[in-house]
Amino acid sequence: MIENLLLYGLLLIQGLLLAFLAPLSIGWIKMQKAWLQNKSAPPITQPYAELKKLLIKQPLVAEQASWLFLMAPYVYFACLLSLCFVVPFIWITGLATAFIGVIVIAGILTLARIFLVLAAMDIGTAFGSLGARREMFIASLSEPVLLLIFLNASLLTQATHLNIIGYFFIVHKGLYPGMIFSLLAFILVMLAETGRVPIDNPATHLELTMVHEAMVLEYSGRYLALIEWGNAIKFIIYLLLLIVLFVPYGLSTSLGAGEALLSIIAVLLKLMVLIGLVSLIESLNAKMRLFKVPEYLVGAFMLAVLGILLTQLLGVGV
Amino acid sequence: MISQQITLLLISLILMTSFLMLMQSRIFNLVKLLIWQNILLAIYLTLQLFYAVSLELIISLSITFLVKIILLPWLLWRLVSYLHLSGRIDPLINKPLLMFTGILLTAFAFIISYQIKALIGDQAVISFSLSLANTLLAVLLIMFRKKAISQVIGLLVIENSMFLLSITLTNGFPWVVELGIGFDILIGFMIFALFLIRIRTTHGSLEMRHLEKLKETV
Repeated sequence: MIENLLLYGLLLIQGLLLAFLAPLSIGWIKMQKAWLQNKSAPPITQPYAELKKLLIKQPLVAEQASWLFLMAPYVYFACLLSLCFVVPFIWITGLATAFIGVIVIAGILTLARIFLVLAAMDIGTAFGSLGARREMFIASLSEPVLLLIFLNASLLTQATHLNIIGYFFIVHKGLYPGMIFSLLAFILVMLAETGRVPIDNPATHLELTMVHEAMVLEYSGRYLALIEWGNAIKFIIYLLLLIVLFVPYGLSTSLGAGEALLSIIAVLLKLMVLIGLVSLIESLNAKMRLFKVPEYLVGAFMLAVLGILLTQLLGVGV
Repeated sequence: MISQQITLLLISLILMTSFLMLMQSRIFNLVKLLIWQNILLAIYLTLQLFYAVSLELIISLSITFLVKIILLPWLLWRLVSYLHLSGRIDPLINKPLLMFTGILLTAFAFIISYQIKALIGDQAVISFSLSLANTLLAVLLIMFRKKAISQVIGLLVIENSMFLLSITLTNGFPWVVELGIGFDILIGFMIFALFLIRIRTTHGSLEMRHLEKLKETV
């Protein structure tokens, strides 16, 4: 009983910690990008300062806005916050991992996106609906890929829950050629879904090419703070999904303090390296034309299919 | 066990480079991917050397290294710069369809090679099917491009996959054959390069549709 309570408490703390640490990932990527451009970087805690500024500002809402517009940021944030309790961070399991499978994870991510898109269309400005359409256009291509990647992992591990999938890969260490293809597909999809450079530029508010920023253009104050924070959480959730699906080594599988410490160090190192990789990709590539995006995402789709083919060919026993 | 895994991983990565070549439309990227493929092939050979040292393999490795990693990419690079081919070459059919065909060919290769599973054994069949898929992808790379330069690259990929096929099924060629193949490829490349330069001086471009006019009318 006491042990169970301790376990739930620890997992609860893990989820909350993840939610509070998420803006650091945005700070870190901004620092890296500044360094790569030979600029002096803002401090890593800059996103917190921005969130604080947005939270104390008075929000201005357009006259035509309906209740949907006011609700959407809360739903968006709640969806992503709930995923913080699903994705393994320090321990191999989250508070809700046992009853939220990978397909539900994709579903929750979609729900968050749908609400943001609805809110963007609700206000009726040109920019909002433009961004919303583009977002759905990209999402309709990238979500199947995400599901196929989950399918590949599930075929290998015979499980649809992240903790079992991660545990399988920790126990059965090995090189899975099928998963290498999925990894490449996942990186491509991650860049598309989190609005990173080849698809969308997160640093601009003033371009006709923007996707995500166009949707949230009408938000201000605490609503914008929630959306920005949600974006940070989304980014770190994708990174953690990558970690648990492809390099889960080091995640703590027991309640021991030493193992947990090791796990924290491992996961932070992995996150730092991955974010470094993302910032490198962002700095080396120019933004893609919108009509080139299908080619890019179809490529990711085909890589994911090829991964599944290879998994079927090789079987689990290799 | 781990050796098998690394071998399979390398062959899969070679397949992946071929697949990425299908996705690329810039010639420089194609050349870069070809270099990566050759490097992976050389690593694969080095690994074979690690398990069973033989003079044949050492000579084969050094020929591969010299011809495929140093000489050919350099020549290809020079050719591409000489012909000013830094732009894009779009495939004849649209890219998603091309990639889908690639997937179908890969599945086809897997099915075909499982027919001869009894002949070549459980382990070899995987490497065999991957190399066969690589060959088919290279054929696809040759068929559906507008400019003649990617035909050369496709040919080199085919040569790579033939090489891979031979390694997976046998214990390596006699080194004289190896040397012969290496020079064959070099000479083939020279002839191709000359051809390309001649085509360009005659027609002013490397587009395949100009070459189609050479057909005799029946």
